Amino acid sequence: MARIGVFICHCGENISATVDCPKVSEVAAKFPGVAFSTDYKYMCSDPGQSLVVNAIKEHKLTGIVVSACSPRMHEPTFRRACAEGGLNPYQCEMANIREHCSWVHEKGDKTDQKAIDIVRMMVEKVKRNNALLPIKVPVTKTALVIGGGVAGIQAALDIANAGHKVIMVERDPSIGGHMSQLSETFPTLDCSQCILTPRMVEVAQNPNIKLYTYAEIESVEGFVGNFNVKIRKKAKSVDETLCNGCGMCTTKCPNKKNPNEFELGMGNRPAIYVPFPQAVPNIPVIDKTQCTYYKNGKCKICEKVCQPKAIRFDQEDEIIEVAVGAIALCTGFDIKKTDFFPEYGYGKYKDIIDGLQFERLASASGPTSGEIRRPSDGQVPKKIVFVACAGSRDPAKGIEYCSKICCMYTAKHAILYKHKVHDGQAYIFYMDIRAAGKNYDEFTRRAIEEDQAQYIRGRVSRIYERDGKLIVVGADTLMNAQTVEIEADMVVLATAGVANKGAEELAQKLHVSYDQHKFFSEAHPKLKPVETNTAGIYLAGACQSPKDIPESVAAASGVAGKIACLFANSELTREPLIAMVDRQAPPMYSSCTGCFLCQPVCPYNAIEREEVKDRNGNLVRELAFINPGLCQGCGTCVAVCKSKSIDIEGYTNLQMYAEVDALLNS
Amino acid sequence: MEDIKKLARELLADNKVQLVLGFENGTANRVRPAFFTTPEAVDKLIYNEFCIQNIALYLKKDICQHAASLAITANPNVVRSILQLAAENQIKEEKIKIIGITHEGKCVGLLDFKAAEEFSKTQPKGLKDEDKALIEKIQAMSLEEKFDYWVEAFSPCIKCYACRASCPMCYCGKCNVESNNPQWIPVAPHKYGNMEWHMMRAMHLAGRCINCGECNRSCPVDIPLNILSYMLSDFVLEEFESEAGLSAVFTPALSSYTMVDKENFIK
Repeated sequence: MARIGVFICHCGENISATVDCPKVSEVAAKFPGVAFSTDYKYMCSDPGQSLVVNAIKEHKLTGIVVSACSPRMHEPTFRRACAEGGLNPYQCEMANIREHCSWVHEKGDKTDQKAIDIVRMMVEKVKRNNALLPIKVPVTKTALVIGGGVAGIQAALDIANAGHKVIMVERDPSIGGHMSQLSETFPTLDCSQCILTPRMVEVAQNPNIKLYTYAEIESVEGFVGNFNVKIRKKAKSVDETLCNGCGMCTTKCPNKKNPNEFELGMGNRPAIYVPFPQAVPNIPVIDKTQCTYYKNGKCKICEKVCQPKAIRFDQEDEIIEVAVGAIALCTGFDIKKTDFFPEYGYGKYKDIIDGLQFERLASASGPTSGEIRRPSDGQVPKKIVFVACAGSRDPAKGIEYCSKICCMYTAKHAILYKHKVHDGQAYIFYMDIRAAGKNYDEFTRRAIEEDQAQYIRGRVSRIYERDGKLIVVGADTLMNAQTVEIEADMVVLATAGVANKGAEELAQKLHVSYDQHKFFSEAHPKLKPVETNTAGIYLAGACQSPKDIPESVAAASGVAGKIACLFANSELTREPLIAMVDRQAPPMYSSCTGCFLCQPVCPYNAIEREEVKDRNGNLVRELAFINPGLCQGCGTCVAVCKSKSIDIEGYTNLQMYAEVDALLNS
Repeated sequence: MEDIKKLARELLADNKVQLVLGFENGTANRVRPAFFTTPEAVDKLIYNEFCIQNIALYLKKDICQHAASLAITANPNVVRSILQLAAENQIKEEKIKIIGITHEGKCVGLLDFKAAEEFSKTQPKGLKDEDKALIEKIQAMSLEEKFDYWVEAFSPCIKCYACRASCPMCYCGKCNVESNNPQWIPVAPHKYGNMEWHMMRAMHLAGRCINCGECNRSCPVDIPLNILSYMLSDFVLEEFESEAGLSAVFTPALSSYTMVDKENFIK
């Protein structure tokens, strides 16, 4: 016979100002099965919790209903109190009469009645609660970091420095990401490579970090603490163990006129190349689409000049299988190219470039050795126009969000331009100057006040070419929306930051959710900003949304902290609120028919096939089995199971039915 | 018919199967499903225009489940049922030999699943003229009229569950309707209880029904259940481009999501 205790919390005045708590308690005392009912000002306070613990012991309660706030707030508190009273912690239910009642209704009889109904539902539910035991899952204390940009580097170093093994996978031939392409960084104007390359070297030298460059994720299986990952190590056509990075191959390669990705097409590179001088690892790769040997079967000059004999034309992609306990997604972002903008000439004007290309022009290691020269004729532009929000905050272009970094880097570009072209004039078309951040606003003021950048508030409607000049037509909304026409020598578009190539496929491989712009979604926008909805997979940096360097680094350290916490124990404890498939004694075995229609709906790949065999080892039945380490208790399988053979522990069909019944039959 | 018999006899004689599932003559000029286990017994096997019951139903019964291998005389309805059962992991290809028979009663020999898929495509599911007329009538109704029509149509239901018993896709060991804790579906045959039962069955069959019409044939009070599932199949085909019974590899519309789903019903 159930003996349920009901504890009505006033939550100061949060509840009691609207709901008549003593009355609710009085009515609840008469519910069938309720042995004890009371109300108290702050149930979550120490005396409040003692009240619960003592009542359990004194009245020999078999379950409790704490009628207070959302279970998101204090369910763990009262589960602990429940356990302290000697009950299984899962014999505790929260009846939410705050968010679901007092906060959303006026004072009155109807509100009281709703609170009573909520309590009644939970009383009926808790009567049917089962004692549950936490699930223990072993943890492989190795982390996988996907992406070797600044976020990935930071996460990998932090995890490695916490004493754990790290496997880093980078798609490009070198780590460094977009940060290695930048010239200077805002708001301090320190050289990007100067601060990044030491960290890159650290990654290469850290004994806890195993680095796979020119590699991609092939597949991910498993669950938190126990992921099995296949990594495709693309063939570099170079034996990494032999190559000493002397660079003879890249110097002697006769096929040098290939567009340089690192310089965003503004320079050339040989078919065998290292993306940039400080690349880590300093090992070249052969671009098979460009290499003369791969195209025509002749050349092999690199092989002849290679002293350590490291060139391997017959090298094939290698699949490496690794076991990891946690995954940090740091795959970064991409930007829209100038061809995205019909109004700015679809990318056909050579002197309209994007922000990243300007970074390369301003960089000492760039194609112009740091001189600002326009791509078409190499002239130094005397009038330069920067267009902020090119694509961003533009629902018509399908990108309604703010790309966040452009205001700051555009100010930086204007400053760098002025430092390099003293007699030049920079114009910046902007919608708002968004410079929130430490020393950020000061930085944009500096662009305006010290470096005479002329900010024009308005958008650019059209850019076209006339007599070798780019005519930028825009509006100045602070001057009565007057049309502004500037004859510019060069235009830099601060194009929208977008999700990286292949983000969607990767998200699907990892079963993490992503938004309509293909940015990965965090588990909670405020309280779980670096977790994904899939346990054990975390995200940092601009793969989540456009972020600047300090934010990316902070998030990466946050991820590293989360992973270090995960690895602090050899076993994981998970909430047992997961789906279970019915099991019975033979000859039924289960009401599960083994149709496996539940398998495709599971977002976590948690449903497996279990074979039931007789004594002789003959297969009797195939049944669905839910891996407790993978299941997140979402309940989608419960909804599709026609024979209702799946139940969520703590939210069983029986419990739900009893709740609805209690509500309808009140 | 003789070639069907010959095939069945050979299969049993060569020990290729332990059991042949087909029809024999019953009493009073009726035919009835029968299980043949010896080549001699096959003398009694028949196949004629009266052999219309969907005997794929018996594949999930103990006698077939316990047989290591079996053959079945399969008209197009049975072939579709077998493919769908295979798609739902209820029967394995190596266990079953399909003796294919066309709508006209012509034997096409043994079919493996691949051949059965081809066969299914050439043997479209039949719909009687009166059924077509009824579908047109229902489709012309407004949403409210449709609801009223079905409430009325279900009202004579006596909850005998013959529809369930005759359906090869209703293979759950324990049906929800038998659960009394919680009692999902009221057992008493009243108007809305009947509605709940038939809606549940319709939803469970949506995208899985192979439209053999057995539910309607077995119904003692003539509820046009086949029309309900036919319309649902049509809807699923139109919305999700998915059709049951055409392939042994199949992901049903209700438990899958693809980028090309039209989702018109939400818009």
